Amino acid sequence: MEEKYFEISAENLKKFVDSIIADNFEVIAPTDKDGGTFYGKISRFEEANLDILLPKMSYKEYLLPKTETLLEYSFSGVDTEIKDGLEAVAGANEKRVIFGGRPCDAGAGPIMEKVFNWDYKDEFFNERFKNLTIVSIACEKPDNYCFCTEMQLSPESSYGSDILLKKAEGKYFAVVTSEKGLNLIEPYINLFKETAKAQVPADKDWKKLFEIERTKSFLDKNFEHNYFQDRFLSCIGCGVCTYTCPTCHCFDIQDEGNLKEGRRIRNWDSCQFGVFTLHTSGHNPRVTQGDRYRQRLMHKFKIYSEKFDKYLCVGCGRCSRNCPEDIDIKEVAKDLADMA
Amino acid sequence: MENIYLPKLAEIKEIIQETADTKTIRLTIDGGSIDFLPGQFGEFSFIGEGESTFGFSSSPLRKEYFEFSFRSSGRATTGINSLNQGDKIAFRGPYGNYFDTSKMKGKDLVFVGGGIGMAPVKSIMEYCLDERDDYGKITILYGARSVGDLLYKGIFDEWKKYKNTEVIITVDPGGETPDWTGKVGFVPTVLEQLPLKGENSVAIVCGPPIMIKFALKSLEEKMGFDKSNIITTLENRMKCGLGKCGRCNVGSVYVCKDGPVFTAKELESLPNDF
Repeated sequence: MEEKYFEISAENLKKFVDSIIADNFEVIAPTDKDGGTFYGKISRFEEANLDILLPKMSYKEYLLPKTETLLEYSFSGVDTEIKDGLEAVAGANEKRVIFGGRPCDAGAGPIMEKVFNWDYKDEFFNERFKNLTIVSIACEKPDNYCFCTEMQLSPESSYGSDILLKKAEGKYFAVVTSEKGLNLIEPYINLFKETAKAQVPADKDWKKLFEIERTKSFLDKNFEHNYFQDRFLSCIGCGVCTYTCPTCHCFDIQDEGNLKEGRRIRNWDSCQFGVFTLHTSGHNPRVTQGDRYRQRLMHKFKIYSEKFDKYLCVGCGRCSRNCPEDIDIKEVAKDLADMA
Repeated sequence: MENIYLPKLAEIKEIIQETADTKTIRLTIDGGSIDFLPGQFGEFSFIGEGESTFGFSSSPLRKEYFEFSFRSSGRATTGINSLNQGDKIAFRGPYGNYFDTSKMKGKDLVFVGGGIGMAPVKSIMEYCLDERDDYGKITILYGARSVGDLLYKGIFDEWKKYKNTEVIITVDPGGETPDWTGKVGFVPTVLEQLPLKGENSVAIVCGPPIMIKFALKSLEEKMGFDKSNIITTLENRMKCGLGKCGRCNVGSVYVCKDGPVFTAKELESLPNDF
């Protein structure tokens, strides 16, 4: 769809959000809870925290829940009954809106969509993704951990958003990029005023600290390099980088239940754990934490881009902000680019 | 809309106790086998105990059943180990690539298996034996740590019955019993003593990483096999088998999708991450 542009006052934006909530949309927005700001369901506009740069976690769990039931099983006598877990997901949450997220988080959805569809189609992911309408807000002040510009996005990128809001004096400009976005505002169109592209403030000239292509070209040539073993000696392998990452999608499949019934679930997993690749024989291809962090870098900046033509990173910097050892992936990616 | 993680239930037709801790289980779905190709694998589970990844060990041309061999070691395999004939196993598959027999036709074949790594070798080997006339001389070399660790003992004689087919069974030094009549020696060592030439030949090698490493070296350097004519399988840990869950990556390769079958030449281009 060709982009459309609208103006909306701050007051009308509040009305818009309250109206869609009243019309039974489930609105997920950054909201203050549990001593921090997280994406969560809001019941009115004021509960959204639009001032925070980034919520602690991304909204990955609305695409790939921390735990998802793939099937349920029960035994009666010698018979096993299996109930398809997809039935519970199909058609549900048709009116879910992610409101007030940032362009980095919005960018993660279409990137993950590739791996869930490149061959076998993962309809759990697709059903959830299809039903999300994403209304993001452009960032004005990225912090020192942010590097979305290096990751081929920008603080004002509309990639992955159905609507991108750009703040201006007392009002917002809405860049509508999809039919889904247009359908969302259609019933409330009197709150919006259509405008020309020329009226929307132009994107700032965001500067890059390094070229990600150079990071990749270092990784292309250096699988065995002292940097990996030395730099990540301090890594304690907690996996917080992978859990807070909007694009990390590796999962584990486990059965849980009792002798009568139970379920097969998939859970978020992490390449930072030793057991992730441990063979039954005791052999482990990735022995050190350096091996494991290298895998994370390889997957994000080399492997994924070779397979899917996109980097598996949106530069949100959550892995760095939350790292107990203050390993800054932006600094690491820059180091690698400098060594290339 | 299809749930790609949903298994089918297969019935256990026969259980063969191969060694103290390994079994071969023969399964049927709707009374027969399923369509698969040698080298492919599936996800097998006793529902409630979790899935395990195994390559098929039977020839797909034998339509009465499909089988896999496993060692009981963790939660999932202990679950499977507890099942009896007539019980159900949940199965997803087949997944992955396969041994390309079109490149093997008319050539001499060498099958090299170590320990439980013989399972996927057995599938392609029996497939070739089932169409014996399509291939030249067939040499089968199978080794295990000890006599007690050899799988498929009951069918060695069956393999020997095929024309122009040599079967060599070996155990590691110290693993022989007083009445052992086979060879004693590590697989790569025994392999080197065989009168094999790389010319017009294809070798299929599967076993523990250390065995593969030395067997590949022997085949390439001592016998002159071309790297593209040595085929092996990677046994990375997997969960989904569908190219999603992310743990079988070796470089840009998803072992579950792009593998598990690779030529030595292909392995050469992969980072040392397996």
